[in-house]
Amino acid sequence: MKVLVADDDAITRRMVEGVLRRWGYDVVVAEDGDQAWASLQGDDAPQMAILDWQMPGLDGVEVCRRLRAQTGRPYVYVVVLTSRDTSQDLAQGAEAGADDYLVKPFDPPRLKMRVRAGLRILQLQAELMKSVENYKRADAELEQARVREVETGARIQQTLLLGQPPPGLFGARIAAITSPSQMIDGDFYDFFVHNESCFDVIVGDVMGKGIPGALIGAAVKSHLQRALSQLIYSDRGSLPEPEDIIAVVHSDVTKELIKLETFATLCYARFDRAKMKLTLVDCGHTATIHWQPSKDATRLLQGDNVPLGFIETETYKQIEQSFEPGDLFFFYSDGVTEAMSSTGEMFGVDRLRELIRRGGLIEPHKLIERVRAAVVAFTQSETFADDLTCVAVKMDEVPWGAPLVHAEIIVTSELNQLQKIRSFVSEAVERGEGAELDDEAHYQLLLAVNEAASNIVRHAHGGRSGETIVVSSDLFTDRIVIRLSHHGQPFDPATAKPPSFDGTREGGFGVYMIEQCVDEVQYLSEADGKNTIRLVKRESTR
Amino acid sequence: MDMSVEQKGDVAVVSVRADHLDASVSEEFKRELAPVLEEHQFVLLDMGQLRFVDSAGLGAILSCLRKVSGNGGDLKLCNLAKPVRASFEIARMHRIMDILGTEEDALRAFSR
Repeated sequence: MKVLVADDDAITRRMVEGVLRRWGYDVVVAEDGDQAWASLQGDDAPQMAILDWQMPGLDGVEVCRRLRAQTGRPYVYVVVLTSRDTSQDLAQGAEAGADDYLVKPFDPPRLKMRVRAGLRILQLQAELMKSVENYKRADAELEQARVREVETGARIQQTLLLGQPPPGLFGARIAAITSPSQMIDGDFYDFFVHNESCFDVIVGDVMGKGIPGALIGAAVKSHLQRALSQLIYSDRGSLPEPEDIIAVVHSDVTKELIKLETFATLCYARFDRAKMKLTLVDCGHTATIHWQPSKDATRLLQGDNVPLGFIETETYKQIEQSFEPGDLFFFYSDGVTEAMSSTGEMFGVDRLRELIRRGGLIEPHKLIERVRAAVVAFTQSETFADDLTCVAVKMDEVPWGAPLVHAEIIVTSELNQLQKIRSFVSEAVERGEGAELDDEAHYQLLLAVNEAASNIVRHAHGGRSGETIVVSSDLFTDRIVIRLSHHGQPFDPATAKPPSFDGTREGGFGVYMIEQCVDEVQYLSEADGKNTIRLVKRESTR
Repeated sequence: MDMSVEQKGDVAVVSVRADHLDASVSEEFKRELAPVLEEHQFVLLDMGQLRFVDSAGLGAILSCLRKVSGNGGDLKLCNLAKPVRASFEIARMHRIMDILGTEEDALRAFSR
């Protein structure tokens, strides 16, 4: 260890230097305070300093005071040498930060004792610093691991747990966002599409945020799916009512949620566009906003059920609401309405209603972005105190169900009818009412219809000619639907052999080509033994 | 099904004189082309008049290709209208067929 000895008195200096060297210390000497200070400021500076109180330039106490005022350098153990042994001096030395003192004259054993005490303290301090460093490093690593875990969790939630709004729904557009307060959140939504005219939107909010909140959200979602499939299965394929689905989920999860001391609010909304009806089970969620452009008004839809996880005896009841083309429904979490401004004011449902009333005509994804921006402007913060979730469902302005134009032809089960069928489809496309298909899309539709018809002719009636096939076309604003119906054998696409693309087999391309050429293909078995292939080609959105 | 055959060097150029090659005519197409494929090693199908080819038509052309290849010969296609080419692409058959632009391009490809 390196020790500095600073004394203007050469005799004392040599004596101290000599004994320290004999004891094995590495000694540097200074003849005055300025030299001492310079030595202490250099690289590889001494860890212990024995400073004479009275020296030319800086005195020992001043050197000590300056050392203690410095930060960011290793601690130097300071022993002050003095010839004045008064308690007033002692106090002054202690106040300057000296660790010990020796009264001159002193003998070598006394010096040895003081230096060794200092050495022990320095060693203890070094060990302490090392373990503090270790703790800090371990702590930082832990924090990093925690951040990584939350980031991974957020990614999992965004990609796998949050249902994405179904694109290309007939007659409705849906948009959704969620902005978590802690990267991963307890808000969730999901979408179940049952058929062309019916889909469910589920928006939920778990009390509690972070990973536990997200896990409970995921659990509730999985219970919803389980309840839905269980009820469909037990009721031989018919679609269960929302209140029955919620009843099953409630009986599955409420007891557990009570034990976990948490709860989830939920809004289960079923849109039936054939009946123009919304069926809603409101489990203590924020009121759904229904904007009616025909009345230029918004109304709040709210049930009187409590959240899931409140009471086991709750009976969940659905409410119904009719709607019209162009109507918009807005679902949201309380993170929107309870967002707080800097003056402590809440965003509130009225402000939200007004935003929606003014923006109801714009596309849903723009509307929810506008709402988010309004909340950011209101709170003057990009980070939210609570999870913020919005789902907007907008009904198309044009009524659904009835096509703009319907046409049909009856052909017989012969291959020479294929051209007639293609001409019929081309006429529908070229009529120019409803969806517009470009040449490429037009040809793809022709090819798909041709393949479907060819399959029916060759296989549905065991190759018999003279059987009836009905081909119909329905033009909608955004799509063309072609139906090919017959009373022969139904076709199961699962039994079709996949094509071989290496040229080793000639067949099997038909089914594959149909799938490539249209947006939707369904093989339907209808009443009275009627079988239909339904093909949908949508207007390209590019 | 109407088609004409013209000998150009080693290559028999077959012009398909039909608007469509679909399931209703694919068997006939194969039947009528069979003697040409037996007599000639190198065959070029000029598809210029066709406006529609379905999976049965593609299958017929594929069977011709296999027959010619079996005799150590070659079959190429030229003059495909855009939609007809789309049929080949949708069935991914453009990967195994030699499809060329004009008759000249195709004849040049044969002589290489």
